[in-house]
Amino acid sequence: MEFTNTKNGNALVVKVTGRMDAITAPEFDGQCKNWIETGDTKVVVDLSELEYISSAGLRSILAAAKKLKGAKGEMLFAGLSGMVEEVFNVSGFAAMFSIYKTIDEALAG
Amino acid sequence: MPTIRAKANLESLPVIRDYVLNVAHQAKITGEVPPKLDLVLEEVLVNVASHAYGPDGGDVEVTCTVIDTPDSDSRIFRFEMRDWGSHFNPLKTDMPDTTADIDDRQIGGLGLLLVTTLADKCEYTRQGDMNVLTLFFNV
Repeated sequence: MEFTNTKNGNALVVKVTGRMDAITAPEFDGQCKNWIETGDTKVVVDLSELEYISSAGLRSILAAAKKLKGAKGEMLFAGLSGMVEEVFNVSGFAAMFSIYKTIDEALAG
Repeated sequence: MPTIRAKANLESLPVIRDYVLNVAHQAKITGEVPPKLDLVLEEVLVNVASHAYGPDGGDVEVTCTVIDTPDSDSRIFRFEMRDWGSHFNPLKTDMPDTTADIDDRQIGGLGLLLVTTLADKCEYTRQGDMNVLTLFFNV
C-alpha cells in the first residue's frame, strides 16, 4: 500500500494505492498518527487507486476517523468504485461518512 | 480434489489466496466472483487465525471446487475451510449495527457481515473436533 499526500488549502488529500488488508492496514494507522501530529485534521482520502479493502482496512479507517473527529477534524472520501464501493455500502460506511465522486467535489463540499 | 493446508495465521494468506484464485482462474471464472473470493477468504482466515487456536496455533485447510449445475448454464464455486480449533459457528455471531454514527460505531465485527453478504450461501457444521465452514458463490 502506498500513500501520496497533497496539501490543498486547509485539507490534506491522501491517495491510497494498492491493497488494504489485514497485513497492510496498520500502515494506515501510522499515517493517521502523522496527520494529527502535523495538524492535518481535514483529510480527503482518494480511494480511486485502491484495489482492495477488507474489514481490517475498515477497522483502521474507523479508528482514524474517530481520532480526527476527536481532534475537531474530519475524514472525507472520494473515488470509490467496484468492490471497494460495495464494501463501503455493505458495512454502512457509505452512509456514515461523507462520500464524493471526485476529489474536487470533496474539497468543495 | 485439490486441497491446501497451512498454518492458521496471517502469513498463510498469500499462499491460500493464490490457491483459491488459481482454482477460479483454471475454471475461467471472471467478473465479480474472484474479487469476492479474495475478500471473503481473508475474512474467514483472519477469523480462524484470531479465535480458533490458543498460543500454540494450529492448521487450516481449504478446498475449492467448481460445481456444474445440470439444469442451467450457471456454476457454483464451493469454498470449504476446516480447522481443528475450539467449537465456533461464525454464522451465529451478532452482527454489528451498521447504522451507528462514527462516535457509536464499534471498531471491528464487520468481517463476518461481509462474508455472509457477499457469499450466496453459507453453511457451518461441527464434525467431530473439526469446524467446517462452506461458502457458495453463484458463477
